[in-house]
Amino acid sequence: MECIPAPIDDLEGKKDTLIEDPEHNVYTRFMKSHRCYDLVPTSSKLVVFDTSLQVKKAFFALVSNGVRAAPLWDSKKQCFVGMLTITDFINILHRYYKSPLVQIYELEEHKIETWRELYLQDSFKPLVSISPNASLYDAVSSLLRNKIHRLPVIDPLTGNTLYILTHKRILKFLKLFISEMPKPSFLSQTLEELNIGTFHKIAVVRTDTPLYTALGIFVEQRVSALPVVDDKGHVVDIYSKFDVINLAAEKTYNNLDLTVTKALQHRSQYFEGVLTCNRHETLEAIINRLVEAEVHRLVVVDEQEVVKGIVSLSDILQALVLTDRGEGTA
Amino acid sequence: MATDKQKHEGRVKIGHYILGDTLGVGTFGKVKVGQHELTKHQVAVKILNRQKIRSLDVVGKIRREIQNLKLFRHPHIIKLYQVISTPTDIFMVMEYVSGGELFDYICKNGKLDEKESRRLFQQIISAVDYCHRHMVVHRDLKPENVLLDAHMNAKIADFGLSNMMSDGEFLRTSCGSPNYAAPEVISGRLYAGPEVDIWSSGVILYALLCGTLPFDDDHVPTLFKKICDGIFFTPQYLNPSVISLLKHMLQVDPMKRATIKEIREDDWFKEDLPKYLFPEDPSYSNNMIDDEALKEVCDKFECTEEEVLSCIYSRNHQDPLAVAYHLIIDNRRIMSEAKDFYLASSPPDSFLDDQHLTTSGAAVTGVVKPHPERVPFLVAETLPRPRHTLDELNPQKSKHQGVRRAKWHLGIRSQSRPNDIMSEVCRAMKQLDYEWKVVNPYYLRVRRKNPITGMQTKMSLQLYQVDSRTYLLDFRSIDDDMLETKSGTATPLRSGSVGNYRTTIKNDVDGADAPATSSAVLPTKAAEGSLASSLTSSIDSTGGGDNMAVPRPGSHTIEFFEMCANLIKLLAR
Repeated sequence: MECIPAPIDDLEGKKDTLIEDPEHNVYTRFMKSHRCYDLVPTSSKLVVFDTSLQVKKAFFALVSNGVRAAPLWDSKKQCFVGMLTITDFINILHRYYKSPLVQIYELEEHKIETWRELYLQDSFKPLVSISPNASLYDAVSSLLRNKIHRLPVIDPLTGNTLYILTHKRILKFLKLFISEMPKPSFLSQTLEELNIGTFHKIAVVRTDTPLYTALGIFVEQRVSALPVVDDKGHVVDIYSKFDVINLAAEKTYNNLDLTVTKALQHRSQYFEGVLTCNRHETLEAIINRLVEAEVHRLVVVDEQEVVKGIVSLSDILQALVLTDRGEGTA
Repeated sequence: MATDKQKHEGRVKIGHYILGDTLGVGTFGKVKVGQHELTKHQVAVKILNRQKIRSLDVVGKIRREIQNLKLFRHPHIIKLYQVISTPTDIFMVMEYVSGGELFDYICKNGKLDEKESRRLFQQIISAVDYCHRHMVVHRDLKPENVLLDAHMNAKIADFGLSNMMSDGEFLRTSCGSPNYAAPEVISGRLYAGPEVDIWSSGVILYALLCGTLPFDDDHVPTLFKKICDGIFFTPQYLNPSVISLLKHMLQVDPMKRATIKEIREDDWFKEDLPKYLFPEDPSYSNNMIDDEALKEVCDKFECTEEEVLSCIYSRNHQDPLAVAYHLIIDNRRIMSEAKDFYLASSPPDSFLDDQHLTTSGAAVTGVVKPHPERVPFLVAETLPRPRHTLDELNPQKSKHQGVRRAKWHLGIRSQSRPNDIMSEVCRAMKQLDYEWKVVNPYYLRVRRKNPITGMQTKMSLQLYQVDSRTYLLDFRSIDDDMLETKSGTATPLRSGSVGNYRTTIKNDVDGADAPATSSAVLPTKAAEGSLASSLTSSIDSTGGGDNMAVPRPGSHTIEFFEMCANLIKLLAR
């Protein structure tokens, strides 16, 4: 193992370390001084699908391999053309579901390429990827700018996909070193003071909301999780996009009329309750909770456990890395 | 030999290991150092020429015996990680230790003091005892086969190998170094039981204490006579209590010779004896069947539980299946008792070796924390937080917990004759427009020009023998373009902080009970230092040439897979 920190080729072109304040944008500088390569694990599993594979088989393959996303390889073009994620599964179910009595033909028969042609129509975009030599700052920017959750790391030398980068992984990496860096004062400020998180038009579902409706919210509002609330607006559960893959695992996707509560029953024995926070907690406490629980978001509640907002890993990375606090601190 | 033919290709690769210098030439063939192409983990690779091995029996019994050697896990026995066989050779990938042979050490430094001699001798007897309990006799124990690790601990090599040699062959080769051979071995009796190892251990103890051999003569017949008389010179400085032990071990009559049990009861031997060397006696008579061990045996030997159980119940302790079962149980126990020892004495990068982790099971996971995101996602890192994996969610799988997992090979298995397989493959490759070069009849280098990207994709094909009738054609991607670039400075070096990433996590998780060994503490310190330096390093732009401007079209790995898939499809027709 090499232990010498490799200098990064002047990624940003700016030499902003001339500023003497060690706290100044410390996390931005940290991200700029580490490469994506630095958080690729020494060994990990990567599943690639050929676009001529049937969508149904692809989703089952995600489940049986325990992965949440897979790069797509187009053998005619001989290149990676996109990613298949749980969002595709949700989109297919939502678009083609008719009733519990009708099998979803499109899910049974479509190939990945057929689905992509129909779904993307004329809006074909090239695959968003990143080089292992790019800085983590570039990775964070790309994840947030493109509003994506899976960023494939592709080696320019071989063209191979090495890893799929996520918000979670980046924050976890930062957390490993956070105690060794000077602590900026804003970490001790509260969510409210820093105005981090989403507090308007929070999408929620009720315990008796049909699954199909929940999937519709995922598709239309592009959120990744829905707090489940009772009549008084108290949060009692959370239904996330990830929970949808269970429909593939249990092969129960033919009935989307059942309620969200019913759909969540599969994980009852593991579920430890919804992870929440309030607006008066410090950013530091929120980061610790998110990293420790390995979840993507916390539900922000008031004293009565009523849902007030959502704070996600994207919000945190935006605040830590992409927000210039030049004057704000000290 | 296949390896010789591969030499002009620059470097010979076995598995993932690139073979380097010859470490030595032993009774059974050359030993070369091997380095893992990615991790640089060093191993020793023993190359056995098939002609030297009992040709008729390379299959059933021998294969199981080798399989068992892979299960041997003792702090003072060289571990066997992997066995790779080709039609011409068998390659044994083994633990590499840096201290060299005990023989060379004694030659260079002369005799050892009594305390140090005893320490090494205790380790050797512990290893011999372990093997004897698992029904394996070394038969060729000598200071050349006792290696030293970086901390001056003894590691015995070549256990069990003598059984693979034909009897005639063994006797012929063992006469090359008869100084350690027991009288009954040189007098040509074919039977060689555990007593012969006791004799050899006695010779080694003598060599440790005196720096010379008890029986030595340039004239071989005289030497044989000395051995058979069993009379040896005892220097003045020897402790009388050790002389009696030596005399007991170097008894010409095997029936009168000391047994392991008697050695263990010897007062001189018992002094300063570390507890881990002789753990509590394993309860062979235990009637409880260990399900986990049973499952592991079935998995490794591809046999049914009934087969293993019938061996255990019929007390057929010599049967490889029963031996394997007991080894697995033993490993678990030793691992938990000698855990600290492993931490202190194993090479620091030994955790890179998969075998080490997987075969030694649960006990090790307590020592080396896996990378948090290497475990299947949503699996709990720590026990108090059970979470589900997708596998568990999959009803098909969870209903058949006992079903053996499918094994995947990227290659072709065939029971045809080796030459027929190769000509069939060449015909298919011709049809697919692949080009190839014959390195040797069973090893081809193949390439194909991708019509879309214009890139050359290269792979190699090697035919391996799996058992007497089955061959496996293995596909391997060749990445030489990448290697050339990699040797330059363009390689993305991992920043220091990441090399220590693992360690930091480990300490994070372990918290207060992080093992207080030097190997675990040092990297953490390095991590602190490297963070500071890497934070500042970004400004010191080296201005190194940026030759990444044009990414390679396509994907080397996927194109390789497509090449394999097309060939397999055509051959399967």
